[in-house]
Amino acid sequence: MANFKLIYQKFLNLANAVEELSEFPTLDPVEQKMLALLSKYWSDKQKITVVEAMHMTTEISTSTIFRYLKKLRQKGYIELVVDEMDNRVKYVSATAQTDSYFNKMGKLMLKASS
Amino acid sequence: MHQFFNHARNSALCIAGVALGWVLFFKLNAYVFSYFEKTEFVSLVFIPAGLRLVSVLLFDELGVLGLFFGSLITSPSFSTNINEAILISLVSALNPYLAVHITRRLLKVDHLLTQLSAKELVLMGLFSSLFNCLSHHFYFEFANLRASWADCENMFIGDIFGIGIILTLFVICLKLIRKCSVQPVEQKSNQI
Repeated sequence: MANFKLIYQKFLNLANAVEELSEFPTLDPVEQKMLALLSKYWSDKQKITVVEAMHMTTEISTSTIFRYLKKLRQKGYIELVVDEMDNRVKYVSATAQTDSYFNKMGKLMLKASS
Repeated sequence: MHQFFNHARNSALCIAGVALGWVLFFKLNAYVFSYFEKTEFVSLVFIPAGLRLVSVLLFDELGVLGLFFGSLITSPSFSTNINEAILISLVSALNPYLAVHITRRLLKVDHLLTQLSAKELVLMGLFSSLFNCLSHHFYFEFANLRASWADCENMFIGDIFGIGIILTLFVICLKLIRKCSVQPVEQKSNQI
């Protein structure tokens, strides 16, 4: 039997999944906050290790940050670069997708302010 | 009793909508992509494959019924061999249903599709195309119809392109709807 409420809910979820195909993978507020914090280091050309990233803010616990780092890596926003001298040290670095994400955000901000 | 009739009417609407959608997309495909047609059953671009996936994801069994009636109407052997037309339509309609259910179970996507992401959707599309071309191939072999692995390959490619085109159209439609729904707000703010 047709239940239009269920069909509509499914449609919304399907629409979200379809939109992910063309857009950047969606970021939740915590992921956005983490990217913003990391971008501070990246814009200063500073290298940030995973351990440093886990302590970059007191607002989010270290275990949560670690979990979100993994999520951001899965979504292609960050990559881990192994230190040339010490294999145990890994740096959190931005990807091309992150750059285009920030570019798009910048353009949208300009558009909104004009 | 009234509720039952209401449900029955809604179900009939869904089935008719999917069937009509199938017929329209099938005709459009035959018109626009006739160049890519390999045999009467196989085309290198087959946009109804996308509708098949979307309708099964949204309407489940009702989608299967709609697809069955739609593919029965458009079946090339409908007027000459009705049994063959029914069997091919059944294969065509049941395929995406089985493919989507198996993929949903494997990828742990719930019935409401809340955990569905782009990656899972792409995998569903791939699996659905693979399932479709293989089952058609085995049916053609079983029914002693002309069946070759090259046709099976072409059907797979056609389904992939079809799903890609439908999902792209879906994205464009969503963007247009969003743009249209935002415009009045902008106009309002200009007025203020």
